[in-house]
Amino acid sequence: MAKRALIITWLALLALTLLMWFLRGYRGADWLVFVVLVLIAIKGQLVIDRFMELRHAPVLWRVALSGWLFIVLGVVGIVRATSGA
Amino acid sequence: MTLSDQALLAHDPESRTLPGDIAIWLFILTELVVFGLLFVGLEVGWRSAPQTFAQGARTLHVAAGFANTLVLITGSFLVASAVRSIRQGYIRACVLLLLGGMATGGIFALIKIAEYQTLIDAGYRLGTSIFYSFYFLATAFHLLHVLIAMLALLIVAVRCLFGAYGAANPTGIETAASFWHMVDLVWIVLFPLLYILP
Repeated sequence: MAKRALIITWLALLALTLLMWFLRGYRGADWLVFVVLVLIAIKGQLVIDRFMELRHAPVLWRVALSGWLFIVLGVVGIVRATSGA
Repeated sequence: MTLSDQALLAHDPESRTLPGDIAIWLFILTELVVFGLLFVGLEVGWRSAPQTFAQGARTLHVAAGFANTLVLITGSFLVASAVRSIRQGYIRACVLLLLGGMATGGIFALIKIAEYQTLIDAGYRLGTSIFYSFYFLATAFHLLHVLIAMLALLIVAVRCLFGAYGAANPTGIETAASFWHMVDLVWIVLFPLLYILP
């Protein structure tokens, strides 16, 4: 991957992590779960696409790993949404 | 675009290749499934005892968890840079970047062990509650993978130093790198599930 693209990916991941750091105080808020899951999804997809380079790999592999990410996060989201807590 | 970036693109995009050995990708898929089941188990556990989980999560060191996230992300950056280097034929840069990646793994491990020590000193054990069972189990299992990834980086770094890899055959480096990125990916999901969401 191009040098600049690598640095941008790294900085984006750091920034998204920092964003989550600032949100940590909102524990208990209804919307926090959704926001956190979205942040995880973005970060995870960045690692899959850019660091793992699956963006340029056979499509099936990108689908497999992205699928894993979204299934896991989806299950978490459903468990949280249906818990009534 | 620099000359070196042109060389990089010549290696890659139209050909649609998987970076590293196919075997590591099958292993990566396997491990992701295992961790995925662990995550689902964790959430089911939370559902059965949300108060226990909430209380437990509050005793964790969120700052340490965040620091560890930044550390692994930086490790991935260094490792990805190492792959870029070897594809351009820069042996020494590749070795240094791989060792840098290894170092971030070491930092992660030290922070994690310090966390464990603090929790254990405060009286929290594997069996203290369902939350701590998940916490210690999941993070220890992940830590094991960090150590394995570090070993993989070390092995390919040493081999690289002795000329095993180059622009024409970067596969070994890519293989180790791919495994490292998986470890980073898992933590990106695991950390918020344990430290923030409950």
